[in-house]
Amino acid sequence: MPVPGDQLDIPDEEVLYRRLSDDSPNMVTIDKATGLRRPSSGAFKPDEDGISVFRDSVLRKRELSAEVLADRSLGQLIASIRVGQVRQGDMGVRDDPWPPGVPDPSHPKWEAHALIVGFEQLSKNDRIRKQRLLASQATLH
Amino acid sequence: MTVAEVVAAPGAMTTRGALRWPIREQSADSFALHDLRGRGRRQGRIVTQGQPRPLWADAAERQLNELLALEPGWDGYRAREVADAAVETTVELLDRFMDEAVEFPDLFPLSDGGIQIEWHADDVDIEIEVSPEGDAFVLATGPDDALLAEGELFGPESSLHRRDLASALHTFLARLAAAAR
Repeated sequence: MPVPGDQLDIPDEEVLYRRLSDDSPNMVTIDKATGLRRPSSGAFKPDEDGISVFRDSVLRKRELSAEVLADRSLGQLIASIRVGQVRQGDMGVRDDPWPPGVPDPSHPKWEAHALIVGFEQLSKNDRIRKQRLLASQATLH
Repeated sequence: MTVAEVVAAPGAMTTRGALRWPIREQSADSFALHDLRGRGRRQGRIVTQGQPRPLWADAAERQLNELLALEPGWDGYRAREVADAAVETTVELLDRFMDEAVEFPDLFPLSDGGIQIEWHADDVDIEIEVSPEGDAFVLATGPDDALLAEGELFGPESSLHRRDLASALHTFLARLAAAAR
């Protein structure tokens, strides 16, 4: 069953990007037993309206790459996840271009801004489990 | 008797810690967050009163001061600065659960001004989400996603006994020890 707010015309194959920091602040955790690195689930804590992400296809239409999202000199990383993976976790995605109150609001990247939704009325346990799912499935770049 | 002491630089805002801590059950150590916001920055210092300084205090102080230095929008979106109450609760949690055997956790800022405390070892995951108001919610799972501990740690909504989290940490340490063999 579709999640309320999920925009079904966004295909499962669409890649979503979220900027993370690997330094100041570090948002990447290292498994103490395996040494594997992955984003902290805290990096996917939703705001009131959802989790901010950027759509790969819209960035490409503006002839931008995901690299515009991160300042590598500041240790910033990009996490990517496919819309299909988001939907498998009972979450959805909707466009949210040109959001207000962001730094550098006229940058063309903001046309590609979207939100991962589906956290409304969840218990803390269920919300954190969804955050964990996103963190575990995201790929760091 | 232990008393939480908060010292503010001249003209600085005082933290809420002095008001909140006495309400909670007191632990062996007491800490103060010295708020230096009046000097143009927020910086805390962990102090003990009549107790030896814990081994984890230096790491905690350094990491928490990094979080306190974050400015609004630090995530490139609309993140808030880390709240004093979240820092105070984090120190309190570390005080209660850290000892020489426990690996220092990862501390992450949250976009709403809270702090997340995490321990991960293979299939054992412990996460404590500290809200900007200083409440703390624990989710700890083990092999096959089995629930080890879950619930609020403090306040009237408290639904988790501290020994449940201590038990989850014991499982985490056992997993670490197994990985080291």
